[in-house]
Amino acid sequence: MALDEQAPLAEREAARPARGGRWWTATRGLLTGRPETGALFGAAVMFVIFAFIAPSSDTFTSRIALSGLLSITAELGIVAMAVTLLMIAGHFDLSVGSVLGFSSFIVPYLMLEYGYSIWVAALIAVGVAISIGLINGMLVVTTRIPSFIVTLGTLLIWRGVLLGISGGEPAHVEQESILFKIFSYRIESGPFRGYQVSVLWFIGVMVVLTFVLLRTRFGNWIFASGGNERSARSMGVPADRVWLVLFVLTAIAAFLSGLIQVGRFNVVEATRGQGYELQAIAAAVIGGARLNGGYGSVVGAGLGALMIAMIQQGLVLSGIASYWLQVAVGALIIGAVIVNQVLGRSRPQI
Amino acid sequence: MSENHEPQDPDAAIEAALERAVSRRTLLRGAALGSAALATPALLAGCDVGGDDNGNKEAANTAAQAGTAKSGLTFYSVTHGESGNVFWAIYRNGIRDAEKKYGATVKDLPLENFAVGAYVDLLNQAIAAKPDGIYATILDQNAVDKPLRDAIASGIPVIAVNVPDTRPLAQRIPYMFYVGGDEEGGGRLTAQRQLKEGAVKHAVCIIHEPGHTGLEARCRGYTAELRKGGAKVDKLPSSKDATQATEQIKGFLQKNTDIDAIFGVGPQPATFALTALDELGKKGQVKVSAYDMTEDLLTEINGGNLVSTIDQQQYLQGYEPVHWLTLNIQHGFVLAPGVDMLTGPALVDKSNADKVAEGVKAGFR
Amino acid sequence: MSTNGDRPLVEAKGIAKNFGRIEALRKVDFTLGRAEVLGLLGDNGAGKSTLIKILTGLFPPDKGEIQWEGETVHFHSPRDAYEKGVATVYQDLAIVDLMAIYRNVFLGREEAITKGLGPFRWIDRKKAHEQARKAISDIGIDIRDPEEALARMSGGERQSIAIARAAYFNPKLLILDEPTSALSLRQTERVLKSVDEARNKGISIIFITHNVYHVYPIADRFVILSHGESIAEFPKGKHSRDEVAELIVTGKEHARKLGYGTES
Repeated sequence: MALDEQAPLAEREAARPARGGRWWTATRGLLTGRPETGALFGAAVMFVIFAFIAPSSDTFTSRIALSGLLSITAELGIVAMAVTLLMIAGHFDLSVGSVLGFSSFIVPYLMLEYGYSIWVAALIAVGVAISIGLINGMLVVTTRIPSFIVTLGTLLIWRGVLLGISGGEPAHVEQESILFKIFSYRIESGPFRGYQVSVLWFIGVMVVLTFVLLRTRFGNWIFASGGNERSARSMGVPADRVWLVLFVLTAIAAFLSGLIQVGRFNVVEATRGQGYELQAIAAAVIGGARLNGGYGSVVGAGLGALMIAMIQQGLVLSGIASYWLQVAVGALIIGAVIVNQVLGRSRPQI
Repeated sequence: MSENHEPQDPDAAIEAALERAVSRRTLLRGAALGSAALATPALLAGCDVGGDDNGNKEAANTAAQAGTAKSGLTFYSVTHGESGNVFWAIYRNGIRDAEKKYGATVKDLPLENFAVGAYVDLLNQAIAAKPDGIYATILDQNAVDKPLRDAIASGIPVIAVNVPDTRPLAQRIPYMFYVGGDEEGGGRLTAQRQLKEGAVKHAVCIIHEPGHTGLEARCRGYTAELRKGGAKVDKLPSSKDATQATEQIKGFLQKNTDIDAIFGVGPQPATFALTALDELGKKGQVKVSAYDMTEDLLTEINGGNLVSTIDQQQYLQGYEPVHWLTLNIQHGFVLAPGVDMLTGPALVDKSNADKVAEGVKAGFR
Repeated sequence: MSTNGDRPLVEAKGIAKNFGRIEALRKVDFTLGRAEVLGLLGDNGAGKSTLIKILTGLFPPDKGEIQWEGETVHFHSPRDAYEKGVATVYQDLAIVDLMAIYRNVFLGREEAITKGLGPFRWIDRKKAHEQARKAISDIGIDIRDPEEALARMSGGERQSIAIARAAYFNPKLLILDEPTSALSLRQTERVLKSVDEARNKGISIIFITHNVYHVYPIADRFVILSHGESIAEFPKGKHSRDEVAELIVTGKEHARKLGYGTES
């Protein structure tokens, strides 16, 4: 240590790995280095457990199970990762489920009722999603009402509007389209038969959002706005703008997830997306996001979504009634928060 | 509402609907409810507006028109049927048509967010208005017990709609009768229909809202009926999310490759089951049935992918209370004690899907 | 800067500020030279924080003027003051505990560590680490790892990092608001070392405190504030620590005895 302090900068840099030479230091560094490490280990352990207990030998690791797992993960993960950024910035979006339902419903609805082409309908739907995000953001920023309350309100509002215009009836698209292929294509042959292209969207969103969070000015602002709004503002961070952008982002992510479902099922029922908000927050928290903001991980949220999907599939394949799903997810959330707290105590870091 | 359905004469359609209601009552009689029940069909036939071709028709019409002339009767419908729900929209069509027919006014008080306490408040609000009659869902028989008994004691006739008081006759709230479906019976009927398609060895009942008493009852009836024949029946509680439910069903089918029958207790789980089978390349190899009515389900039935679904004929649940409350107030007509009016289950399969589809288009189903 | 290099950096003359009927500042004068540490001393309620807010542009004075390098200036906003070269480290430090050191150092000024083209810019981590280390070692502190979160650091280290951040962007004036009030003796020494390093960089510093013992070792000159007035201004060595401490508590009358305020 003393030597380090006197050595020139470059040498100190070079000497650093040597200090982590002992395996424990290395392991601890790995364990505590990032907010998502807890989720990473958890996911790995869970995978092994389910692969082991799902009785008929290879079901959990079979192609059908894995592709199913990833389909669930992709859709939930896309929403959860966007929600995580917002949570890091210190806010919640409870309206994502309603926005998912409402914005994706618009696509078949506009096609059926107004005869729009699928592209125009999808474009309008994106616009609607962006507007909803802006409304959420503006309400939060201008009224200073906690986002939890604002988006609880818009959760009810957009679900109500959806029920109103649909009359509760599902809407259909009986149409093959490149648009659906782009978002919802299922591979029909080869080694990846049964996998959906949504997995690639999930990975893409994960890479982009991780980059934005960790490697851009905006990412710095996200951490700061949620970590300490006052400090952020006094350092010139436009926190309001950060939140607006993130509310729009969660709405767009919800629409993307919704669109993936439209392409696969060709139908949107009026209850589409119900309950998604809580799953998304659960995934974010399991992935290491702090409920009070300022801390969290995009990759962690993706892993959180994967864990929720694994529990769903694992219980079915293990022959355990999925009544226990809620029990398992509930326990997982609490366990994750405890683990993250313990790890975080030794070295909170972003 | 009915003006929009030009091709069909509203009255004729109502009569057709009533005819089906009568046939349901016959079914109920078949379920052997005792001699008291046996007395009722005759009574019903006599009172049904235009239900039969005998001389009673004229008398009944006159009665109804007399009602129209001096009516001004006000009834309250207090249900958990939130606005915007397609099932309840059809129920409301029944109310609107009956209002016109009998010159009554129905105040519709729907519970928008499921909460028993809020429902009791709504009910008390309706009772406080001292209407000529109330029809209410027995959302929680203990919670609504006192308000409804008080209302009945104060001379307001009450009809239970959609959800009955399940206690024995001596203990249940002394409402006139119950108009609604029989969920467990719907499950049994579904099982019987699937057995007609062929033997069932291993079936699964998919329930998307575990703990919902109505849905659980559908599952119970289905399971009991199939087990009589020695089949194995599992229950799969599923997510409400399309992707999650579909993948859960796929996982289940993968683990249980011998599944030969599926019962989705609502349109959604049945639709997701069809997607799952399609993606597994098993479409057509498994008997799938649904519950409730949507146009999609009818399409699937016609396409041969779906064996059956169940119609609750909820139009009647909106219509019949107006009819009966009017008759009761004006002429003192009652049903025999303990006799209920079961509007469902009515089985929909390939044999009647087309006909039923017309009703769906016209807003009767 | 070169043309007015011989003038004091700041000259405040007759600054007064009222909030309704409350006189927060009645008459404040002081002078701040180049690369000088001015100890601004006063008890609670003496008007220290009001004075800072005027100097940082949060609100203008009702009376009096501020000369900046010999020219009268009006700061209309903190931005104005910042552009002239005023940097402030508030008591709450404006840091984000959960964030890494380097992220804190460049918070709100990420341009300094980004690279890329046009709107597509990203943080150059290597550069960010180097610059953060440099900023902090410039004020005499060594940090273990610029990726470490501030929450892991001691109060003195955090104060020093906040000073390092303010000093990094080469301000002319650095205002420190009670930088040592919550610190132990050892931590205080660390902060004073940072202040010294900042002065060595040529920065003028206003060190605000109610505790003369903290500022005495480092300050070149002192201004005593009491009930909204500057009651005494003197270079270090003229009075002992204990005398200064008494002056802060006893106020104007005692100052007169020492020969201050006779001109008014």
